[in-house]
Amino acid sequence: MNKHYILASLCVLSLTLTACGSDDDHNDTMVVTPTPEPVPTPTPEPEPVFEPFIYAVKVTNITRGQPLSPLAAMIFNGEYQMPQIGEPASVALEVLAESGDNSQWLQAAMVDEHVYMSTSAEGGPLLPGASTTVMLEVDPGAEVPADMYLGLVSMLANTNDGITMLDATDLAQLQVDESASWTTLSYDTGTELNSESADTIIGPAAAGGLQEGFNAVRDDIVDELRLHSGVISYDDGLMGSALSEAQRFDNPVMRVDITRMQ
Amino acid sequence: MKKLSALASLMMLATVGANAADYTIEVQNLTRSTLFTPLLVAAHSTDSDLFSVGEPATLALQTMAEGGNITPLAAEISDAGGMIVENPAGGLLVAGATTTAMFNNDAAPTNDHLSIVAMLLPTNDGFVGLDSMLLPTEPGTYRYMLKGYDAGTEANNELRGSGAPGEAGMPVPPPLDPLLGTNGTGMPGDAEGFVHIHRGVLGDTDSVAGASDIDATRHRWLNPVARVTITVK
Repeated sequence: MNKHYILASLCVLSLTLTACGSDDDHNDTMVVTPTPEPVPTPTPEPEPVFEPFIYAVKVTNITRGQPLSPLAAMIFNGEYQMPQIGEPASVALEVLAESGDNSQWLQAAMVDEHVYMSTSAEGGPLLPGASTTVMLEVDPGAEVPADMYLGLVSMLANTNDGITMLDATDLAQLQVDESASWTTLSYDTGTELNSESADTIIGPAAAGGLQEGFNAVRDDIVDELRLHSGVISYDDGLMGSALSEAQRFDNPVMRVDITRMQ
Repeated sequence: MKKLSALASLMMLATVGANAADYTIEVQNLTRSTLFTPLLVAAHSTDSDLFSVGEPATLALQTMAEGGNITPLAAEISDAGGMIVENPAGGLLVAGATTTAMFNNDAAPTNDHLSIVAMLLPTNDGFVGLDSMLLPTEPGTYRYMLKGYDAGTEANNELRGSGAPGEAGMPVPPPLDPLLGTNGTGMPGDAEGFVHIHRGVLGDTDSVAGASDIDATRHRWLNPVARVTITVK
């Protein structure tokens, strides 16, 4: 069987060669007629088109009792900055951190010239222990970006204004089919006092309260992004807290597995 | 044979020399509202260090961790031929703030390990620490997260008190004074006896009584507590 196959291949090869030879012969005998001088016209260089970069970003909620609001994911260049510790939060981040609504955040990303793409994870909150995968695609068109970074942000729903964030993470070193993993820290945006009350927390632990989301008033002890100090909870002595010991958390709070698909 | 070994020595010297570099060390306080006392940034050989996890604290470490005094630790590193940058922030490094220390170890390339410490306030004997990390030598920017440690030399009673080694309670510099409670009865417990990862402070929500003088809504923290960004030139 194998032998037959090889023989067949050889036949095809020799046939091709023969065909080529006869083609050359034909060209040699072709009559060339003089043509008029061509008028020089600017011919545009054909634009090279590159394959899209596609990344599968799997996130896992590794807390005990903090649902994560729908993930906002984005890929950007080195000019873009994710929120920085020590700086006040933008209103778009404040909305995300207090209500879990990432639409303003993504709107801002969409109009930012340094952001290649941005999207939200589908479905509702990511419950403790659960995972979801977001596909991210950057279509480079005619020019491959010099640098690409991944950023992720999501609210810890049973907090006043806590988020988790993957700061600019370099995607350049990731080859096709390669994976990399990170874990993320918890941050306090500093835009709302951490009362932990049922009236001010949107998450399920505050069921029965007003569960207010975004409020433009900034009444935290400092109006700056910092690492989160954790929640205290009613069980640990904070009167008025809607949280039990089960909503406490420690770092890290989310696991991120990135695979470059293409 | 002699010639060969001389040549080998020269080559080794050249290699060591090539590994020295210009370093910019940025330290940022990532906590929500914990203070860092004056930082000690030290480049040293493997012959010295500032602390060892699992071991009892030295008196110099205890002096830093209980009161923020880095003089004895700095002297130990200097005496051993290491390089130090003391108090780059010129005082307390407040939450969210960043300070920068610079050094060049071309003249002493065996000082190729980096250690950083500063006391965490309010704590009894907590400190932010980086323990003898081999310095990168390839030009570039490197980031590290630092944790809070407990020196294990003082009971974590969480009460206003003294910054002197061996004396109970926490030192209270002016910026901290109005933020702490008073008349706490004291958290239970004894000195742990060895350097370990800090378990955090508890605090309470009663500013004029309760067990702790620390405000639970303000001064708790989770690790990490600091980010170090090293730029190698």
